[in-house]
This record gives sequence, structure tokens and C-alpha cells, in this order.
Amino acid sequence: MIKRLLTKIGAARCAGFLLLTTALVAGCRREEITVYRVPKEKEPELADTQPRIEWQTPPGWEEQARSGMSVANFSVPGDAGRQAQLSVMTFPGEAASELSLVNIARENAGLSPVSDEELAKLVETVNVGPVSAKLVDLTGAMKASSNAAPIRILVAVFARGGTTWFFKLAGDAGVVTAQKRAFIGFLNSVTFVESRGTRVRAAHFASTNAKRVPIAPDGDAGVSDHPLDKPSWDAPAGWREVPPTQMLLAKFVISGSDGKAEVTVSALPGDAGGVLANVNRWRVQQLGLSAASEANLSQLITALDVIGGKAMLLDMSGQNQMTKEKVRLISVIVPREEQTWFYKLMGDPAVAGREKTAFIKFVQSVHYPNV
Amino acid sequence: MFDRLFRFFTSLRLTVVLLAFGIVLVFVGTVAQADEGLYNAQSRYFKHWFVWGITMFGHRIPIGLPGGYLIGTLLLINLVAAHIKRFQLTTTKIGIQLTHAGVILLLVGQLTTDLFSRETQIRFSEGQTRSYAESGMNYELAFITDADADTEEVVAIPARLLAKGGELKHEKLPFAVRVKRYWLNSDPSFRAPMMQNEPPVTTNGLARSFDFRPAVETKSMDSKNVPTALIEIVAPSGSLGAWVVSGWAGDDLMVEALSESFSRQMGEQMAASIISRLTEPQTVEAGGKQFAFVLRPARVYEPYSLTLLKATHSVYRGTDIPKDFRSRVRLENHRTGENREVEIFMNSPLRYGGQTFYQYQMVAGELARRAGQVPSSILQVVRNPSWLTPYAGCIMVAAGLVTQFMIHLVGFVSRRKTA
Repeated sequence: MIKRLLTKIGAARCAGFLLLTTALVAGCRREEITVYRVPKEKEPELADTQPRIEWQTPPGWEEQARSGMSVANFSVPGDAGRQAQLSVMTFPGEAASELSLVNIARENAGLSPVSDEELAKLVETVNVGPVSAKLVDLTGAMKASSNAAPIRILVAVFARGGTTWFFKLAGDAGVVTAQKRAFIGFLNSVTFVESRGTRVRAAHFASTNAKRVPIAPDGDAGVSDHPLDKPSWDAPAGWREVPPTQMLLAKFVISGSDGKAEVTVSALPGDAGGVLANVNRWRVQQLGLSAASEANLSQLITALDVIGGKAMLLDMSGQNQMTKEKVRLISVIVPREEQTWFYKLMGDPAVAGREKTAFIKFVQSVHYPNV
Repeated sequence: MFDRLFRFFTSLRLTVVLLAFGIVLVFVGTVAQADEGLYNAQSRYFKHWFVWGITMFGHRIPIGLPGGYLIGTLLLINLVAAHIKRFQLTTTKIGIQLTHAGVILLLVGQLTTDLFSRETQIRFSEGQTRSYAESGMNYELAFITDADADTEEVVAIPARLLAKGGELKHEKLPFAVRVKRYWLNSDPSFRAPMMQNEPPVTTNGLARSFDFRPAVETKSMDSKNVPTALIEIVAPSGSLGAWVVSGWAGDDLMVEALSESFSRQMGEQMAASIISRLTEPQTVEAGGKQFAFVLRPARVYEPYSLTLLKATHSVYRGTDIPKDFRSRVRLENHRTGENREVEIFMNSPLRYGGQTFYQYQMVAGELARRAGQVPSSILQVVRNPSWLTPYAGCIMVAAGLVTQFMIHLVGFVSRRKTA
């Protein structure tokens, strides 16, 4: 019966209908502008951003560079060179308990963990800007150390907008005690900057089946290879200029029977993250040396006269972290109005030593475009 | 004429010719994937009616072939027509009918899969909640404005419309978007002070800190095209200015890759400073409203949300060989009141709301700890309304063949007994 019915309708018509339907359905995939309403993205997203706060720095406190997870760092001075440190840190999520965070601080100080009951005895309430927080004084629960000066830790903990905040004043017990009032004043002065300016950045996924992004393996993405507005300089005759790579403005190769070395020139905007950060990057990542402190830095630097002002000369030796061979790095940092210029001579110690004078002359010969 | 057409469509020769073309197309389309890339080749050979010019072992050969759609549709018509013509509702033919019906179901199922299936991804870190999935390949230019205190209205323009150029308008936008340049794939370069030779393409937003240049379209499976466009926003009163929008600024995965690249070169602090310029929101004011706009991976919103509670990436002891990727998520659906925890791991996806959530990629465990990151996970979200048809089709074909064989076997044995 079905056969007769279909034959009556006409198989060709059926075929035509099928073809038309397929074509129409295929045509349905055309993309169009869409409009929809969605809830505003929730605050927990801030967990991944670097939350921002503003504050009034108490007199005598010195703000320091941010490091690792900290949002702000302060050096809090006391008498006779004793000092304490205030770190403001954030932890993503509100799930982290005050107990666990307090115990992290205690662990750092070499103390045993506390229980919930012990915690309750150590807690008082304090206002961090508009937010009520728990202020924990760990003095009573700390083990006295026979050798070291007694330390004290004051911790203010609270959760806000999907982030747990952690203000830790730690250091010499005398300094912390003397500065407790200033610390509470500092906490009261905190204001939160509501900004959606910093976007959430997802982690870089790197499992076995991760897609590579179109970036060269040596990571030169985002770096222009346009011809550059170079300053003028006099390069020594023995140096062979080669095409620069990555963030470099110029690159020279020096080779001889005693090995080889490279001279590179680069510039970055502003203070390029600071002299200490750059010097420590070279020391740790390139020379396998320990990081220098701010105090050590001045010993490493020699002043150098260059056209238009003063520069910083550094001479360091270590082990090349790629080849594991001995290496010497002589560098000159030239801070200028809106940028910082870096000149580096790096290579076999013999070649670097032999070329040091020529390298310094080279740097001193540089005329910047607007000088 | 009518009979001739009917004969043509019911002809067994047509079946043979179509199957032969099908074999050639599958071979050519598979070989071409090496040169044209998987997605390109699949689209050009199998998702078009005709294929003009094929690529074999790096050589372009100027010949035409019927495309996958044409062969599939004609085969379907041929099969249905032959079915109608030769249809006999007898017990001896029931196996053949069932087999044919199974093949028809397979063909129709494949067509609907092709037309209606969708693959997206959910990327989140522990503690984050997502009610949308993102495309791994396609981008959209999203104009976002506050609708009320809690919601925002999004006007999403698919990047493929931008690629066509011209002027784009929508009633919800008090301005037109004029596409001045569009690059399917692009590379960014930071406008470091010493590198600025040419003035930026526009003095608004992103373009002040970054230049973009066109890049060769990538066809490789393990990389993706990141588009960039130069757009002008034109209100009835006149132009509001030009801006650069780029996937490099709107796609978190790309931002992270760039950030890592900068970190390696110039340290974390400097990289963070440069990246903050890249991700600074771009906005325009028009019609009394402020619109933020971003070229981001195309999003698909769902009426439910997933929160990543725990991402576990375990390895075999003493090695870096992955043993298990596992995401514990909380599924919340306010419409149905559902609120439950689910574990998603390899070969054990979550099936919900007509979609399947597979464990895809992950940074957790030692990997996340070393990178100083919050553990995170990517789920592959597959919507395929006809996912059951291949199973049903294969069962029908198998059952039909077995039935037909048994009918013949029984008939043969009983004839032998009689003889």
C-alpha cells in the first residue's frame, strides 16, 4: 500500500523534495548577529586578577616592590636596625579557612599549627576599610627560640568578593608591638578599588593534548621585527653585526681562538621593572647565581659616564644555565626619560674580559636620536 | 520523462557510480588533510556540494569532484527511490528492508550530525563558575552594555560576518560597525618605544600599545587562527572613532600564551605591565549607554552552570606520564532546582541538557604547583542531537543482515531435508 501511495505521489517528486529539504536545512546554518541577556559575571572572577587596594602609609613605613602573591609589601622599621615586614596577600576563593591561613603563617615562622579552640582565643575584630576582619595575634601561642630575637605575627584575615585577604605584620616582637596601633590605623585606611580593568586570565593549559598557539618555540611572539629607529654608535672593528632577534635592537658576535661572546642592545619602556629585578633575572636565570638584595646591588654597580648622563655598569661571572659552561656577563644599564636601555656583553670569560674596554667605549659612543 | 527520471534514481548503476565517487572523495579528502589541514579539508571535500580543484601530495590538480553533500544526498534519494520501487512487504524480504532502513538512518543521521552538532569548550579554574561554553575555533565581536543592575545585554557579531567586510547594523546597537580591515590570522607586536617607526593605525585603545600584522592562515591541527580587525564605529551623528579588536586581547588562552612569552623575555613584572595594556577594556559611548567591546571566542550560554570544585591530575609514580585527569564539578540549574556534584574523567563524561561534557585538558597537580597557578580544567562540550542514530542504524543493518541470512539458511536446510 505504501509503495502504491508513494508511486502515486511520484518518486521523483519525493527525490526533489528530499533534495530541497537538504539544501534548505544546509542553508539554515547561516550565521547571524545574536542578542542575549546574561547575568553580570560574578565577583569570584576577581580571584584570578590582582585585586587592588589603596591605603595611607603610616609614617616611617617604606613601601617595597610587590613579589609573588603579595599585593603590597612594606618594610616597618624599629629601633636599632630591628624591623618587621607587612605583606598583603590574596588567595583565590573564600573557602580557605582562617585557621588554615593562620597556620600557613605559623609554618613560615617555624611554629606548630594551632587548633580551632586555640584560634578563638587569639582572635579580635578589626576593620579593614569598610570590611570587618579577624585580627589574630600569635604571640601567646609561639614557641620561644633561645637564639633568635623573639618574633611576633599579627594577621588580619577576611573574605571579600570571592577573594580571601591576608594582611600579615611579622618580625621583631618589639617592632610589631610598637607598630600595632599604626598597623590597625593602616588597616582602617584601606579602600578597595572596584575595577574591571584587569581581565581574568585563564591558566595556560598544557596537558598531553594541549593545542599549541602559533608562537615560535623560543617565545618571540608579540615582538616586532620591524626595522628600528636605532641610535648611532661606533662598533669596534672585530665585532660582527648579525640580525637581531626577539626584543633586541642590535646584536654583535665576537669570536676568537679563546671562545666567543655576544653583545646585545635592547630597550624597554619605563624602568623596565626596576634594576634589581633585571639584575636578579640575569643572576638567577642566566648565571645560576643567587638573587641579590637591594643592599648588595649597590656593591655590584659601578657608575659609568655616558652621553647624556650616568649609567650603571655590572660585571658578573657564573655558569651559563643553558650550556653549563663558565660565563661572564658585563652589562650597562642606561636609564633614560621614558625607557631603559640595556647593553650586554656575555660569553666565554676570556673573550668578555678582553673585550670589556671596547664594550664600554662602544656604550659611551652611543648617541640617542633625541640627544 | 517522468519515468526516465524515476528509472535514473532507482538505478543500481547510480548506486555503483555514487559509491565509486564516494571512495574517490574519501581518499582524496583524506590525503588532502596533510596539505589543507583537517578542518579545512573536511569542510571543503565533505561539507560542500562540489569540490573544485583538489590537492594531492602538495600538488594542486584542477579537476572537479562531487562533494560529500551531493554524493550523500543522491545516495539517499537513490536508496529511498529503490526502496519504494522494489518494496515488498513479505517475510522473505524483511531482512533486506531492515538493512536498507538502517543505511538510510545512517545517512540521515550523518547529515543531521553535520548540520546540528556543535563542539565547544568550558575553561575554568578551581572555584570558578561558568554558564557558557566557548568555541575553540570561532570568534565573535561582542558589544556588552548594562541592561540592569544584575544583567548585561550582549550583541554578538560572528567573526565570519566581519570577514565579509562592509557595514554591520543591528537594532540593538545605536551605531553601525564598519569593518575597515580583517585578518583571519594575525600576529601581535608590542609597540616598545624603540620599535615605533610608524604611527599606530588608530590612536584609540589597544592600537596605542600593540601593532598587529596579518599572518598566514594556519591549517595545522595543533594551532589556531587568531583574528584581528580594524573597525570604525559610526553613529548617526558621525564617526565615533576607529578601534582595533583582536583575538589576542579577547581570548584568555592567547593572552596567557603572550604573557608567558613576555615573562620569559623580560620578567614577570614587565610582562604583567604589558599584558595589562593588552587586556584593558575598550569602550564606546553611544545612545546614552556605554558599550564595552571585545573580539572573543564565540560563546554559547546555557540555563545552568558548572563550578569547578577540584581538578585532579595524577601521574604514574616517579614519571610525568598522566594517569588520570579528573574534574569534580557542581552542576546547578535554577530552573529545575538541580544542585549536585559530578565527577568527569576520561571515558566517563557528563551527559546533561542534550550535551556531553568530556574531560579535555587540565593544569593541575604538580604542573599547576610548578607554574604557580590555581588548578584549572577544560571540558569539551559536544552537542549532537543525533548521536544515537549511528548505533540504531548499525543495529538495524546487522539485524537485517542476520535475519536475511537466517531466512535463507532455514529455507536452504528445509529444502535439503525435503530432497
